[in-house]
Amino acid sequence: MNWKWLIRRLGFMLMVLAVAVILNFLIPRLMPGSAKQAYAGKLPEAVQVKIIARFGLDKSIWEQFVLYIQNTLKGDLGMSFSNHPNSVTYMIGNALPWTLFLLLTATIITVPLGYVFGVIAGWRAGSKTDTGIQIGSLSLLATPLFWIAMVLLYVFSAQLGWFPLRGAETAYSGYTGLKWVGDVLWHAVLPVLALMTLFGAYEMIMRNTMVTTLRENYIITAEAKGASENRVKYKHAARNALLPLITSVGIRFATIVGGSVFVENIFSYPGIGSLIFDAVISYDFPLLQGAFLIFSIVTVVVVFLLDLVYLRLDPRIRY
Amino acid sequence: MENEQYFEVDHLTKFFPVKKRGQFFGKPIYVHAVDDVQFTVRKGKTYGVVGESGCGKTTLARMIMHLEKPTSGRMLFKGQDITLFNGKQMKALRRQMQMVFQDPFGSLNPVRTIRNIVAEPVRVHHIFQNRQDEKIKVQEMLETVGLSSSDEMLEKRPGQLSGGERQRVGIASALILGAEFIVADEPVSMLDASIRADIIALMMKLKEEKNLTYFFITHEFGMARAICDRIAVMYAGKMVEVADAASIVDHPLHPYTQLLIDAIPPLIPDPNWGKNISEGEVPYFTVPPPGCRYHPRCSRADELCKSEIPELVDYRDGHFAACHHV
Amino acid sequence: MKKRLVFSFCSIVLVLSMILGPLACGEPVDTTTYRLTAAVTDLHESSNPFLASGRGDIRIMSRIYEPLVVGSGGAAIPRLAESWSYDDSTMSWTFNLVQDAEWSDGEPLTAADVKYTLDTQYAGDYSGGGDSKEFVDTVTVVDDNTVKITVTEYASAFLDFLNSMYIVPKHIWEDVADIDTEANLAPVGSGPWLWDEYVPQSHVAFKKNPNYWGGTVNIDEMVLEIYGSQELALLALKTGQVDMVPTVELYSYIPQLLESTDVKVGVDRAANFYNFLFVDHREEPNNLPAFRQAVSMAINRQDIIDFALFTYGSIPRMVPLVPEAIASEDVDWPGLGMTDEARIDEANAMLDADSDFSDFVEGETRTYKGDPLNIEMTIVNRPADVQQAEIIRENMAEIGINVSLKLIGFGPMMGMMFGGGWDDWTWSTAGHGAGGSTLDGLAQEFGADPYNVWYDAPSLGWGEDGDGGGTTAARALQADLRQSRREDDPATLATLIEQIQVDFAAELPIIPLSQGNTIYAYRLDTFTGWAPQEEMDGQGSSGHLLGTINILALEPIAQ
Repeated sequence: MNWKWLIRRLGFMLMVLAVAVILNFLIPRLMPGSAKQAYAGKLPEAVQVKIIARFGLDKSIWEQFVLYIQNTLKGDLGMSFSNHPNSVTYMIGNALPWTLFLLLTATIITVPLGYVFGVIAGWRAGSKTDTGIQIGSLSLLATPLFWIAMVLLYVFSAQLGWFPLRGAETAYSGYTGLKWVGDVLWHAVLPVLALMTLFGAYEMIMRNTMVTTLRENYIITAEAKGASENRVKYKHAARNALLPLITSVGIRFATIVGGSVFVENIFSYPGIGSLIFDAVISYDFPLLQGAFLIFSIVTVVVVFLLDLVYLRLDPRIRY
Repeated sequence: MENEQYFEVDHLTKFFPVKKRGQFFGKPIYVHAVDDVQFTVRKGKTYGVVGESGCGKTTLARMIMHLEKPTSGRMLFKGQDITLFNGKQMKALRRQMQMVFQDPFGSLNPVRTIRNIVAEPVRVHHIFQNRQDEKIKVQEMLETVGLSSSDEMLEKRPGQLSGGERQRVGIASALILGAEFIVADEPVSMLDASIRADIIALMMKLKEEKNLTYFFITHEFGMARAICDRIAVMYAGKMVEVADAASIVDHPLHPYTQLLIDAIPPLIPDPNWGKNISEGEVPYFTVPPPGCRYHPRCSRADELCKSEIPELVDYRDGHFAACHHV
Repeated sequence: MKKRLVFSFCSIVLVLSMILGPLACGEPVDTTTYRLTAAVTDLHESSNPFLASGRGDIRIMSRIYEPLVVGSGGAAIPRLAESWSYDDSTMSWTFNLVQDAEWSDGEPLTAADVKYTLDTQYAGDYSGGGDSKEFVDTVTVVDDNTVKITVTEYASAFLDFLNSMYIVPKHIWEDVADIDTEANLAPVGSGPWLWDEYVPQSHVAFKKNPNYWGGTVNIDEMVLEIYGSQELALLALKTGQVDMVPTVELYSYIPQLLESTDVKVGVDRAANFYNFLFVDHREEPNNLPAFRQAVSMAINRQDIIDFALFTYGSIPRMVPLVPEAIASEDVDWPGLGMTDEARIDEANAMLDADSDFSDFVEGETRTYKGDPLNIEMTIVNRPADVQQAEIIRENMAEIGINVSLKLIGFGPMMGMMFGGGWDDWTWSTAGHGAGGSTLDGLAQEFGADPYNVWYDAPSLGWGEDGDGGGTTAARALQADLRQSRREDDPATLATLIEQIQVDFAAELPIIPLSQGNTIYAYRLDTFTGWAPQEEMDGQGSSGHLLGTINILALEPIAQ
């Protein structure tokens, strides 16, 4: 591990976060109407007064900014309109684990699947298997996420009754231990399946880089060394073709974060996506902002972790 | 068995199907990459194939290594027909036949360490039970090819090595299984001139030490003349002249061979050198011209050359040539 | 190797979820536990009674806490106060609390808690108790079970206001550092339910209060589950996964719902949901009562209901908005009981009678003081609204008024109404939003008290040539109204209400078109004792069906 690189990368991460924080400060103040309205407009008058004092909304923009930074660093993102007096931090704290669980599970399952199918399709590019996989991937890629989510819900929950209609766990079940884990997994199956439509994107990226990689000379070298088909396929070709896939996971993560808004809302999943949806329809500005801030933090952290993975996978990279 | 038929190729042909633009149906058209080639490599000797790029020599090498499937013909290794060997048989055969590649930059997997690259064949063939033995063997091979065997070197990646070092790694990897038949496809053509001689010297040294047989492909006649015992000249997928090195250099029979010899830069610069070298590229034949394939470029060509394909004929003690005008 | 590990991990996760899930959920938690599950789509959780607002909050509040009285429209039902009286000489209300009420932590509920609650609500300017803070002077503890509230003026609506005054335990709340930020996630209340589990965005669960002073709750648990959409909530009801849906908003699903004989769909007509035609009375000829009456009379409300606003089977989503008292008795509400043709003729006659209007000629636009009656009507650009406006346009053509439609978005419409930017010649329909807020907007525009804008219609000053005389008359009328309420004189009260409604009909400050229904649905095979339809009218479905009185009546059906 290169410490210099790590420090630089962390610095970059902090810079991105700083920009996100500053944007979060600026956006409500650039919107028509006042920040006062945005932050406190929908709360009872008595609460409004306190919010205005807490965020210095009647002070100059610089004083507001200093207060805002102080509050943000303390983790005070304001008070949710639609869920007052619950703080935005409290709402997000409750929702974030569910969203992370959903997104990470979907990613952890989808990326290897996309990888395997991409390898299979790329290995025999132009074959019937390849065409089949490509048609599948393209159709998944072209189908809107919310539509797939609704179809899954309609078929498997509403019609067949195999999966629950809502939520991340059975409400007020009192389940503990393994039973609870089972319950949570049972509830997660359909949302995760819906998010797994991103498989199409991963598969196509993997397949295309696989095709390019297979033209590399070291593949022929490996064949000449007598390496078995699987060894050539996975150890030599796929191993190198994997790198663009890792990059795309970072980029796509932002996409599935967006997708989670639809998926969570359709499955009544109590995550950040549902929070954002509710915040939008109830004009809950502080909550919306907090959710966006959290999403930017999550995305930046995920991209950073993927950089570490990339670093590990591609020794050529010396930052 | 010395000097006997060690590796034989009999009427080997490779056609690549191609489709013309806009043509989705109908019969594909074939490129004749290697057309009815036969030769014999003798044990302990270096058999050189010389030709311009595109003449089919790389395809030939790849067919020998079973990286391409021949369209027709046979290949015999130590008298055994290996043409239709399956994966398992081929794997066993690869312990005796290995290949050194032209491109030391692309042919080494960039993400793997030198240790992994050199050890790849022994891993594929499950030679060693433990990693320590394998490491010792890898270090020994690195020393054999004149590289450092330090741990630092073992953990390096191809990107951290120079071209010459990489080619040495390629050779080490080819020899680690103890292969005795090495197919070298232009092993030095992509290296700096200053390093070429070192690599060639290394290959020759190893040949002596390990009693190797080389099937050496090059586009430089000078190189072939320096290291090969027997030289075959290929043009557009066909062998046009085959002879011992001395014979072919001193008395080239085919006009194309003459052309290649003329193209060797003289040791003492000669202002007139290169004046009479005929122009032209190897044509990319989908349908080869009738008669002698060389006739469009040949100064001696006549009506016969245009209509009749010349056969390889032994003109003098194993000096074969395919020309109507010898 | 690592890859194989990842794969096996993933497949194990998938397989586990397939097997464990159904296993874990296939069996009921406890067969002897009766649980009532309600599906809601808009639960905005707050258990802080000082900050509670909105439907979701109230749903939670009214499970845990109780006000002194419940019910509205002057028909207060005792709750924590078993009786009350008003003394005009001291201008004070006296409330006698129930004897054995206690908090869920075992402490007794006393008058001190009531005083604390009212004082804190008023001092903190919170929303509980509505506008009663305007006239409540002091709250005094007489003894443990008696509280006296002195007021600066008598207001019959005081009891209504107390509806949202949830009494909280003093011994808990006086230790709360900042009420405004107190989430109150472990509330101590006096109601039939104990707050047990709250998972944001997922559910709120209550256990029954075994020591509830008001009676025995027959249900062990109540869970309010949040569903992402109405479709899912109704599906869950249909398939028996929940026992009730307090607010059905997806009317198109009702026929499907009714396919099941185990499901009952009910209608509550007290929905805060109106369609009005707003007429800017400050402009000619809008300022003429006769003109507005003619317009009102010419509008075919039933057509609007039938063709523009949906009707589902036997359940109308909207009903023509005509005050019921008038509809039921023979009151001179313009156009009531007339055929469509007669109404149009009458409307034309009213306009013809005024010499400022040119006489009606079929197919031509009338003039008013020489100017043609071209009126621009602003409406929200939504299919139902446009259809509605088209019907009004056709009706207007029949009395010689040429209406052109100006379509704008919902946002701009709200901005127009709240921002005070009404165009002089703009008529606008507004509805589909909460009636309260449109009335609020109206009141803001005209500077009137939003409360009881209906009753106060004459006080808006319309119809008396804007000299303020109407206001005086309305005040007198209101004083009489309050007097009759105070003296518990239903006959006088009814006459007075009728009087106000007649005034309203004559003045037409706003032209009412239709009123929405709140539709609720529940299963018949899990619980019995649901309040009958007629008890529901005016109660607010969820408030009543899951409210204390009805919940005590509910009995689980043994499965």
